[in-house]
Formats: sequence, structure tokens, C-alpha cells
Amino acid sequence: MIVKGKSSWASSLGMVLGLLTAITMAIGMYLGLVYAPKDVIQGNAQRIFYIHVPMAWVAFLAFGVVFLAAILYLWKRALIWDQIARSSAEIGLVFTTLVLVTGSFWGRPIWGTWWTWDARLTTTLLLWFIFLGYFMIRAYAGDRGRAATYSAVIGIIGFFDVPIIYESVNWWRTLHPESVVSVTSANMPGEMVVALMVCLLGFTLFYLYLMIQKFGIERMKDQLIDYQYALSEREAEGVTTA
Amino acid sequence: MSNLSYLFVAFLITWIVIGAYLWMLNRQVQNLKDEIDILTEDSVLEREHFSSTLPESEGRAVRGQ
Repeated sequence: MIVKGKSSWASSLGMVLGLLTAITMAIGMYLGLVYAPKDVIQGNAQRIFYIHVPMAWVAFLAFGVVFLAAILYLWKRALIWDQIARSSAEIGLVFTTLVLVTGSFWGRPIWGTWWTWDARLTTTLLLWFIFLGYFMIRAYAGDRGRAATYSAVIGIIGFFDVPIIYESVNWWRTLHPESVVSVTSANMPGEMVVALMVCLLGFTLFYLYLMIQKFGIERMKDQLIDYQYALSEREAEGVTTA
Repeated sequence: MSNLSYLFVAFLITWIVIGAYLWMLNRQVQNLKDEIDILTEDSVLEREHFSSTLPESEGRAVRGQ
């Protein structure tokens, strides 16, 4: 049986999350663009930081979910884990694209170039290509089970690039600045930290909202495939008995 | 371009991409719902056609009456 639309609790949760996301994002944008002070050296371009860093965080979070769901899929072989993995991978890819684009717009006025083969930029681009490959494999694998298995392997391998990206600024000499905020300390004014934290919260809520939407879609797609398959089998049975 | 222009364009691109992605998700939901409607209608028609070819008592059973 096809479940039309989403269950009521998922729909309500989606609405609440959507509303919370919109409010938090609006506050975050105000804090980042108005409340936080202008950087003395970088000027207004530094404010790109308030979307660039949260989007990078969401991309890492999304690929972390892909990693866990892919392991669980290979272990349990339950379709739900593949649905979670592919939903999260798509969101991760969208946000990685935006991280690369916003980083480029930040780098141009500060470094004088749109792109440089810096360790962090290169490893992030590599991550983008890995997850582009994830969807290409899914598109060409044909069989649903095979697509899920191949992409799960890519999802697990791809995630290993995330800690490399994070540590790249410490391991290699890079143009990209080192992390300015850690769990224990922040190397910037308090107003900037507040704006960053609110933006991080807003984008994390947005990720959860998108996950609910995308997971519902992927589940419906699979149910539709199962239903079409059952119909075609019944038709085939009708032909053979007639 | 001044620094402010880079900030403006970066934010503009981000929100356009996010808006386009949300619109795409909404379209996917609508398309799936339409497909389900078509399949459900086909299935109902098929069941009605099948039941009409059966004797009255069996036809009622298939139609769930």
C-alpha cells in the first residue's frame, strides 16, 4: 500500500521545524549582517563567514549521517537506511556546492583569487566530486539493491575526507585560515561568536527540516516502485492464466 | 567590486540556490502525489472492470460490498 503524503506527526514536525528554522535564520542574518562588528582588515567580506562556516558544518553533518546510515544499510540490508543515506547525501552535496561558491566569493577580495589549489579547498572539492560520483553510481547501477550497496561503499569512503578537510589547515601550510572557534575557546569578539552560534543553530535546524522533507520523498518513491512492480506482476499473472 | 558587493552576491547566490532546492523538493512531492493518484485510479477501474465480469455475488465480494 502506498502511503500518500507524510504521516501527520512528520508533517507537524516539519511545520514546527520550518517555522523554527525561519525564525532562527532571520535572527542569525540580523546578527551577522548588522549586530556583529565589521572586521578591521577584511571589511564586509568577512560577513560571508556567517553563512560559509554553518553551511560547511551542515555538509559535514550530512556526510556523517550518510556514513552511519551506509554502515547500517550494509549491515542490516534494510531499505530505510539507504533512504536516509541518499537523502542526507543530496543535502550534503547542495551545501558543499554552496561552501565552495561562498568561499570563492570570500577569497577573491581577500586573497586576490577566486580559486587556489590550497589543501582545504582541494580536499573540499574532492569531497564534492566523491558525492557527485555517489549519485552517478546510483543513476547507472540499475538495480535498486546494487545502487544502494555501491553508493553505501562510496558514502563510507567519502566520509573519510571530512576529518582530512578539517585538519588540512593544521597538517599543511594553507592560505585558508585556521579554525577560529573551538569547543573551549574563540579567537574573535563575543558579538561575532554569538552571531556564528545562532547561524549554526539555524542551519542545523534547516538540515533537519530538509531531511524530513527529502526522506518522505525517497520513501514515497520506493513505495511507488514497489507498487508498480506488484501491478506489473499481477498483469503478467493475468496474461499467463488467460 | 567593493567588499560589500562580494558579500551581497555570496548571500544572493546562497538564497537563490536554497530557494531553488526547496522549490525542487516541492515539485518532487507534487509529481509523486500525481503519479499515486493515477495509479490508484487505474487500480480502482481495473478492480471494477474485473468485478463486473464475475457473477453478482463474487463481484460484490471483490468490490468489498
